[in-house]
Amino acid sequence: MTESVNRIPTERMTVVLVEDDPNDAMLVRMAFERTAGEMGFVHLIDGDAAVTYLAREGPYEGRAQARTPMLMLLDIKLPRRSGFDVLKWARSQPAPICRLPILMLTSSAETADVNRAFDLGATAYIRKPSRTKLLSEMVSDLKNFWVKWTEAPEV
Amino acid sequence: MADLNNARSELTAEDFRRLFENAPTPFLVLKPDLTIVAVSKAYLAATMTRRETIVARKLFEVFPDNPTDPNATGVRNLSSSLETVLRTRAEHKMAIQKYDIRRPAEHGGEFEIRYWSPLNSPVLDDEGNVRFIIHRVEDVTELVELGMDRDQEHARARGLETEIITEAKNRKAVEERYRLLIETMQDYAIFTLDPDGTIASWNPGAERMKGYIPAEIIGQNFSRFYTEEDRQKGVPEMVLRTALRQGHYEGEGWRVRKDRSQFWASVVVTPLRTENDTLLGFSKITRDVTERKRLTEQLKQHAKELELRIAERDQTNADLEAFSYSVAHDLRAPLRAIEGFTTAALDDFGEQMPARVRDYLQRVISSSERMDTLIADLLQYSRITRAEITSSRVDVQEAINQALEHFDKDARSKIVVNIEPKLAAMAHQPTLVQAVTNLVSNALKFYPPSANPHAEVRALREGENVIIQVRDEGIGIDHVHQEQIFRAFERLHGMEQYPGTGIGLAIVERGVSKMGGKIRVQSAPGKGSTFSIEVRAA
Repeated sequence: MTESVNRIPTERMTVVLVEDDPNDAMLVRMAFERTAGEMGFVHLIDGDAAVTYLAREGPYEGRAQARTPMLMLLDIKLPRRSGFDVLKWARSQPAPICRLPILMLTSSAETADVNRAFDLGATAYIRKPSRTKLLSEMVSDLKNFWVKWTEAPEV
Repeated sequence: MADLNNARSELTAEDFRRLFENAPTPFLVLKPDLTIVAVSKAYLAATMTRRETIVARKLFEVFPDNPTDPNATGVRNLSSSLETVLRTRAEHKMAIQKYDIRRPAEHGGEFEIRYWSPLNSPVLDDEGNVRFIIHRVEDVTELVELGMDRDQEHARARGLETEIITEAKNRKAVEERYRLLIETMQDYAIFTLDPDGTIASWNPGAERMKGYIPAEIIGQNFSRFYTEEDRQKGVPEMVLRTALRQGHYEGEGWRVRKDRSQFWASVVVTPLRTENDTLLGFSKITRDVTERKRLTEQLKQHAKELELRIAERDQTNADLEAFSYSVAHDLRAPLRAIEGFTTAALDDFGEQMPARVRDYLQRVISSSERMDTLIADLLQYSRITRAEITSSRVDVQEAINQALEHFDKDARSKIVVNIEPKLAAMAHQPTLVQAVTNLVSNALKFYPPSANPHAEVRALREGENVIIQVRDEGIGIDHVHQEQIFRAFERLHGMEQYPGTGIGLAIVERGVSKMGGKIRVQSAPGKGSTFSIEVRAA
């Protein structure tokens, strides 16, 4: 039994949050800092930013190679380019962008939204926890699952 | 006047009797008690009776219903018409009646099928009281048997026409019979055209429908019945050409009467030919179907309005959908921030705060949590209100199990379940599960603080229905509140005592009635409550 080659040290992992509500973003960041402080955390404020970040364009042209985005938490309702648009775009890109695990993080519980997200290739669909306690639990579960149990693709 | 008096004085009572009895119309004179007092020879002939055997007898003794016809309505209809005449003292014309007549005993005494067009007229005395009723009839058996069924008017007209063509080749006597027949067809304009469209014959139905008497229309071209627009488009010529080519033309369109008014006509045109195929002309049968067309248009109009309304409703639903989406998304976001940052403040700086500040912040948190629950419940209520629910077969046991999964182990230990085996309901599973969940949650909630809450869920079949009952032995509900509790936001208790949003039962009620079922409550203060969901069994 060999140790997985794809396992990356957590300090090199980065979670990218795409969220237009600064309060929500701050609460998620705080939850990450409390429970997964060693991980990198990048907050992008809209869909356009998410695309330019992943494509290493504009302000993100020279973003550090060391910091590998391990997963993206993507809101659906975003100004101009929606979360669905970002998802669609990412899945249509050549590797490695298309491989990135993308988890929808949204307040919508509409079945239509859930279905659409998976149709477009979402990795998971998470409803925004409405309370701090639940948010902390969610972040800690996420970290456990993705760090402890999953094999990350090369991105 | 003088002449008339002279004339009358010349007539003896005997003359009057003779005139009366020999009048060429079948009629019968009745007293108000329906005794036959006089009868015309024509009536005796038509009914195969003799004067001496019917006069002074009661009408329905002489003319009973045909006992072999279980659907006979003659006696009933005639008796009701006569009653009408006695009551209103006015003439009453009956619809065509089937009223069979018994053959004389020497001819076997069997009933013979007959159709009649009867007219009953009162004869009043000087005080205006009914002294006699004249019952006049017309034997229309032949016409009826030739197919006077109203429902098949069109087919009849066409069949008739075929017969006309056949008959045209027959002898004069037969021709005469059909001429008479056509003249009596009041609802149809029946006329013939020469090969060039010149009108050659004209029946009374045509006169009535179009307003021309034969003298002013025979010899004219039939195109005058068409609208100016149709004439310019060459419709009349097209009709004759089509009839020639296809052996037949059927169509509908606006036609013009003599007084320029218009009606919607259903028309059948057929070429008439001799045996050696020389074109004699055309027969044209026209029926006024304006009323039918009007009704059809009205129906179409209603259908259109309905569609419009459905579209409006769909739009409203779409608006509501967007609204609740935005409620879900936008209204809850600030709440997350309020709760989140207050919690952060308490977590990070709670120890440095005076106890009162901590208490205040605790209240901010619980209020925002309550508001969040409220929004969630409201969303669910609006979703269930708008949802298109389709019922299908639902396993009741499974639905109840699903509902109980919403409760933790401790709560579940307080619930007794009693379900008839193999019970299935016509329901919408998620809605039924939701309803049972809400009822069970209430059942465990409304107990006095010191009591041990417990509940029973039962399900049984009752006739065509499945009843799901949730029973508790809690505080109960006063009779006067038992309707109110199913309305949204209605609460009977203070928030401290029994927290809640007041939407749970409204969701149950809405969901159950959407499934075509009923929700009932039996309760009294201190005696607990039993809520029953009744849905169709599957």
